[in-house]
Amino acid sequence: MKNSKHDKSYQLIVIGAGSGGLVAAEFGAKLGAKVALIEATPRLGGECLWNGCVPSKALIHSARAFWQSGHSQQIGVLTEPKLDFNAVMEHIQDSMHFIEHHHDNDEYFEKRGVDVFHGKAAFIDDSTVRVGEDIFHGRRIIIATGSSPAIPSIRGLETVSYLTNETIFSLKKLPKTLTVIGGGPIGCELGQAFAMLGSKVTILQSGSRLLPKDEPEVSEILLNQLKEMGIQIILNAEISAIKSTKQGVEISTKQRTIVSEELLIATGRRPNMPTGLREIGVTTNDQGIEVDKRMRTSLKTIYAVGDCNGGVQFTHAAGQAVVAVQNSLLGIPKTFDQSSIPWATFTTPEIAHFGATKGKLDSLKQNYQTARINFSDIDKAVTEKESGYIEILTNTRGSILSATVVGANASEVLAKLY
Amino acid sequence: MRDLRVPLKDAASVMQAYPTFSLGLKQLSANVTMDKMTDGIIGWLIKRVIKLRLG
Ligand SMILES: Cc1cc2nc3c(=O)[nH]c(=O)nc-3n(C[C@H](O)[C@H](O)[C@H](O)COP(=O)(O)OP(=O)(O)OC[C@H]3O[C@@H](n4cnc5c(N)ncnc54)[C@H](O)[C@@H]3O)c2cc1C
Repeated sequence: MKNSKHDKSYQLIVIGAGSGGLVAAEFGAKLGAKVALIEATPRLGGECLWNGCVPSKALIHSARAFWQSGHSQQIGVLTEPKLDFNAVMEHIQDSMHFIEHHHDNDEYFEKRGVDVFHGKAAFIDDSTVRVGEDIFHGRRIIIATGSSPAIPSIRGLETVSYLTNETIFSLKKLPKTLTVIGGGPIGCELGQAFAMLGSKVTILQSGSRLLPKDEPEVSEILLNQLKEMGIQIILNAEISAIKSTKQGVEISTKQRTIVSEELLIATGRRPNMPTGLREIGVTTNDQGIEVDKRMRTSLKTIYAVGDCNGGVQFTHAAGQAVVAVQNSLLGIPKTFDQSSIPWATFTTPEIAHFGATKGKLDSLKQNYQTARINFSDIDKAVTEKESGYIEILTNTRGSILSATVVGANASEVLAKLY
Repeated sequence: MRDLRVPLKDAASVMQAYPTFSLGLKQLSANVTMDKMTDGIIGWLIKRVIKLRLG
């Protein structure tokens, strides 16, 4: 790591070493540019590695294995599984550290020609940032500062201790009861995983269905599955107050009052914006830093990628930082079309989707045809007692507009389609 | 036989849901493509363009 107090000049400065920043820095250096990567924390990897995708998928893997071994009577397996929660947590830590040592570390990037610096970057002007006492000049700057959990304003919330995705993976013991506020992908994935491990889980969702960005049919299937597993779901939940009691956190909703040992807030994300950004004239809004399809901000030397630009918030979407690199270094007018980005929700059943939903196509008055196969017609699914479906929407000429897969390995199946 | 490489534009932007095993396949062909492109004459040209544009 370099730490001199001199001014430093680069062709490209990348701020933030999460999914977007790492891709941008490596790609920029591969193309031959002089690149600086600045990360606020002591370690690379960002939200996906330390608080997001990796720990959640590691948790889900343990949870599914535990749940399935106790629910396989139908295929002739009778076991009474035992849970070692500390070992589950160790598996999560091991997964994160393996990835860190394998490729998300300073040495890996330095070897590939990226100069890595640690410290919080603040803007001075459209081509200069300050990190502590160091000044960095960049002909182009890519902001990839990600997002943090958005905390809703609910009366009393500030008086109780609650978990977010930043703290839940450090739990020391399995909570007997867990209430999750938020029925989006993060709330559903984590809520179900804890229920599979044995927590009594309640999910409070302010809207009328879970996973509101997916097809309504998908929301319905997941709702039924979660209920069948004993998870209590409250839709259209209106939380009036939260307080701490001897028994745990008490959450009062219009429908009922719930007391639970732990409370998880999973109510969306808020963008991280570097200091000085607005002052130098970069346009922002509530969702994040405003960018065009080429990921350019309102200042022509500055680009913004990943969660901080308020677009779709996925690791592979942040990876489209390559679009910003091509535009900024080479002047290639590459664009990023967010409308057909795939996504997967790693619940049971797994859910994967890309393209417009039926509702969206209807609202656009676009004609489409539906092609569908249920898992009951797929022999492999029958042998594994899996239910679900693959549904593809095409235009009248047969070109694929969008697809939804529900069931085992949905995310892998979807990958065949684009 | 199918070529392991993909068009450069696809190699630069691997767009697939994360995290999946099949992402590994796409990543593999993207890496092979990028290595071939950035090591050869195109790589030299790219470096020239960056130098000319950004000094
Ligand atoms: C629980 C959970 C599960 C998820 N699961 C999935 C999944 O399965 N699949 C998927 O595709 N996505 C998933 N996501 C989303 C994914 O994690 C994010 O979309 C992705 O991490 C965004 O990448 P990014 O580069 O924009 O930001 P981040 O990964 O958040 O990285 C931003 C980096 O910038 C640094 N930074 C911030 N401000 C500054 C500054 N001023 N100076 C220097 N550095 C700064 C931060 O420290 C951080 O390291 C999940 C998210 C959560 C919370």
